[in-house]
Amino acid sequence: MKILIVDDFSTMRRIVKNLLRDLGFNNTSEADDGATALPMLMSGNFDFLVTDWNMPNMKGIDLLRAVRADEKLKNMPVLMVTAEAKREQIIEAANAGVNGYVVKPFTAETLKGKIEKIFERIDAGKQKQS
Amino acid sequence: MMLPKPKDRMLETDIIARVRQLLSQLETGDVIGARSSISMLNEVRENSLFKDLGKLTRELHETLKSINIGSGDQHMPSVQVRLQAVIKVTEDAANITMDGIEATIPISNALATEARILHEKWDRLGRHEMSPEEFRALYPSMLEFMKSVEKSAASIHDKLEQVLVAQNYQDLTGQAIKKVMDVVTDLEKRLVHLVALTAEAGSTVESADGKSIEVKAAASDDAVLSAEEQTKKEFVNHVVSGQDEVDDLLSSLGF
Repeated sequence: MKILIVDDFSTMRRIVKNLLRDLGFNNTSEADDGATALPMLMSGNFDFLVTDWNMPNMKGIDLLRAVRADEKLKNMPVLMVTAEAKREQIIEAANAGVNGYVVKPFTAETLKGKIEKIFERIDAGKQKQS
Repeated sequence: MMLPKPKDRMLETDIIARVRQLLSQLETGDVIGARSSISMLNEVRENSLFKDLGKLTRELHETLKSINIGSGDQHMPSVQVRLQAVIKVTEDAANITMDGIEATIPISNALATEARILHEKWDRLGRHEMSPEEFRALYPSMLEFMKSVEKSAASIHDKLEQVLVAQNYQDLTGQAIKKVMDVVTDLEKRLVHLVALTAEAGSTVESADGKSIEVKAAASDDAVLSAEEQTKKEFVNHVVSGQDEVDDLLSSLGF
């Protein structure tokens, strides 16, 4: 399971990376902007994307849309972790196909819980297929 | 130096015309006419002074507003509110971090003590200095110790995780500080503009000791910086407060 963590603040990437490691996910990569993340996703065989919203060059919502628009990436589970808590934005993310939305500041419990829930749904989906 | 705009041209032409009129009135001895021309020239000066002052006042007002924009509105807090929040967030993070440390150190100490006691017993066992009763008591002691380590490790792990997450303050305060930097940069631009306007004010002012201080040429009619630059778009949006509301909202949309 290869995970890409995207946030323009390195401290936040580090926190998410550590929490993921605690859940057993050791294979993580990082990007500091939607713009640098997208090429990594295109060529990288990632299984899961965790992204912030506010980033200087390409915002998380635009990254999400780009992922959903790409033939290869469209089914990738995406979790948004962001300080943006406006209703309009949450709805926008939901409509753009986000799998989970965590607002900052979050607890370790919340983040882990949301990630586990996303993976449960993926596994359930896979089981249905098989 | 800017080219005089159409209005300034008109002003200049106007003044030149009146001055020519004044000159001819003086030359022909038309004292009443001359007096009237002088007072009209004065009026021109006062009007343009008045306009400049009005413009300056308006600019200053907009600038002050931009520092304090949205004060009282939770969506666009003022600079003071944002910076106060930064202090609070960093303080809370420091306290959570120290709480984690203060809770962890005693656990670690207790574990060290237990280990030392067991270690001594184990050494005596190795030297065959242990009585049968003591030896029998060793088994449960060992068991207790192993459970203790497991429990302590779990507890330490939780505390460290809390400390880890508390480092999120850097991201949150960083974002707030970036917003303040934007406001300050904008303020700087406005002040520079204000200074330029002031320098452009066209008048000759007499100082107290009768010397005249001449400020630069005619005032310009530049458009004033729009205060809407300090965007109010966020006023409209409603903000949810907390992860629970986010979850509710997403459930209501079928997620």
